[in-house]
Amino acid sequence: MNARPLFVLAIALSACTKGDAVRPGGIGSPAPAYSARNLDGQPVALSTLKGKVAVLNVWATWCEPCRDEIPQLEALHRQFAKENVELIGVSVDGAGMGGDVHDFMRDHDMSYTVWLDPDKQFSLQFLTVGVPETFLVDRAGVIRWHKIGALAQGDTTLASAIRQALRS
Amino acid sequence: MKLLLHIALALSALTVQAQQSTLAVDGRTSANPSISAQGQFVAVAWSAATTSSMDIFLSTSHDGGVTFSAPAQVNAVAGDARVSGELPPRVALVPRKGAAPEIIVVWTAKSGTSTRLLSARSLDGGKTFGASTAVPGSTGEGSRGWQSVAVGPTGRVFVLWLDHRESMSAGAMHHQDATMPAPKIDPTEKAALSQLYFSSLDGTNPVRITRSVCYCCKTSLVSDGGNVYAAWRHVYPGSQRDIAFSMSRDGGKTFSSPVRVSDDHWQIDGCPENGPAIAIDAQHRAHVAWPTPKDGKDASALALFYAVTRDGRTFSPRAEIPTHGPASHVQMVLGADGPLVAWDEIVSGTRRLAMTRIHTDAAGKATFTPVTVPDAGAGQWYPVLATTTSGTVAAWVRQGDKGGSIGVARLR
Repeated sequence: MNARPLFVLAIALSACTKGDAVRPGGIGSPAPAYSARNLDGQPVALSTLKGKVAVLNVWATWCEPCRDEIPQLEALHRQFAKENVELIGVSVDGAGMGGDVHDFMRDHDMSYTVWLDPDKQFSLQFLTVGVPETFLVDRAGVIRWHKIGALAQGDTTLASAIRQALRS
Repeated sequence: MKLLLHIALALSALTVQAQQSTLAVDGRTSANPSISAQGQFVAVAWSAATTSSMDIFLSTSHDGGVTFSAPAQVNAVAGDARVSGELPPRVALVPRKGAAPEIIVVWTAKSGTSTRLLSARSLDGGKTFGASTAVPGSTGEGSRGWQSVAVGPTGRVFVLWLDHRESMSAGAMHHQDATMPAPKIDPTEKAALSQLYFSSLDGTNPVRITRSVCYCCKTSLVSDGGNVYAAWRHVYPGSQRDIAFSMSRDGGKTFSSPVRVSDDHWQIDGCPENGPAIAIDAQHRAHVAWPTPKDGKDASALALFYAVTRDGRTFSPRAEIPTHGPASHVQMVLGADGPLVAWDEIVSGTRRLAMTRIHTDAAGKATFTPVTVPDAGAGQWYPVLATTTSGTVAAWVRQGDKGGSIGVARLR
């Protein structure tokens, strides 16, 4: 195995852990118990994804940096959909905005799963700073990667972290 | 120490619960309040959502916030409201001799795939509202929002907002195919397309104050005599999201070059959703409070800071406002004893209200005195404040299992 990608991943993960040691929902800690609603209004829970690699991206339709990273997230979803990876967009749009979220997904060709969280329980559980923010939770339910803010164009750290989580 | 805090919060809750009013619309989730007062008249605007739509409602009080009228719907087109925590509907009161104040509400409404700013007026004390009309300069392509409002000395209603007329059209160009990567663009360069606009409801030509404003943080606007004061979260080089300030000495015709309130150097390529708050005192000093990580690192918990300026050009060194956990959604009014600040903070896994009074000496050195919050229970956030002739009134969101409601109470 070529050591270079692992080295790059290690650097990336090290960068992502900056400050996480003091945060609930930090890297290496179990993902908080979290539940939301799906677009049909049915309850959904993170715990049901145990055994899968889960990527949780908290976003909103009014968030410009969120819009910018959607193509990358969609591409990752399509790339890893058959490998037991679940990419979930957690929308913090307000109550009653499920229809807008649905329209937005259609307009932006989003095919990954979206959950609705108008009360921002995600931010309470994961202590997020704002939107967007992305967490990778491994098969055992442990947070392995975290990004505050939008993925920069060409940023491959999330893809690398997914591959690493699939290998472990 | 933690146990003592819990006990203190519980006792505080027991002593003030009876003073509260609840504003809600049956069968809907209420959230996103704003409040304004004049004399003993108080108006609270908020959103009430069904599972599929959202409207703006308003209730008024003639007794300083003790009792409130039944909610009246503000928006003429049912379901057109699109508001959230940092872009709530804003309410302003214009004094009228011998009558209840004129009530103006400004909110964000759906407009195609984006949002625009609408306003509506009530001339009967909030019983009914007239037609919804667009805020001058706020229509057209791209979203508008995160607005704040203020009333000038002659009754002109001013509006300050974030304007994405350029960034939205630029974004649309690379969203034709979701899987196609967007062209690489520096976050700071892209933020230059996000702009800050100012207008009056009776005006026609809005003023662009600056570019490079953070996308999703509320603005703050205060009018004091002929001066207008504005604060917002700016995007500085390196995608640093610090608070900026500008003022107009000619009633909003022109604004001074933006000043960085504090060199916080918070670097984040995202939406903190946490704007600043301003209050102006009798000496025309501008007091500003804002959240930011103490060390400027994006993963650190948000702390709360305060600074003051006499001349609008230089600010006192920032002073940290004591908090018990990550702090958000700061608001400030000038009370009888000086500026009063309210916010919500995460303590023991829930959101709680917090308030403090600020005393600033002649040299700008601040001291903070905690104020008993009207409800120390769990699941309370987004407080807003207004000053009446009988004291300060607070409104906030109470989160409940069956949806949110708006709590209102006079502070002791």
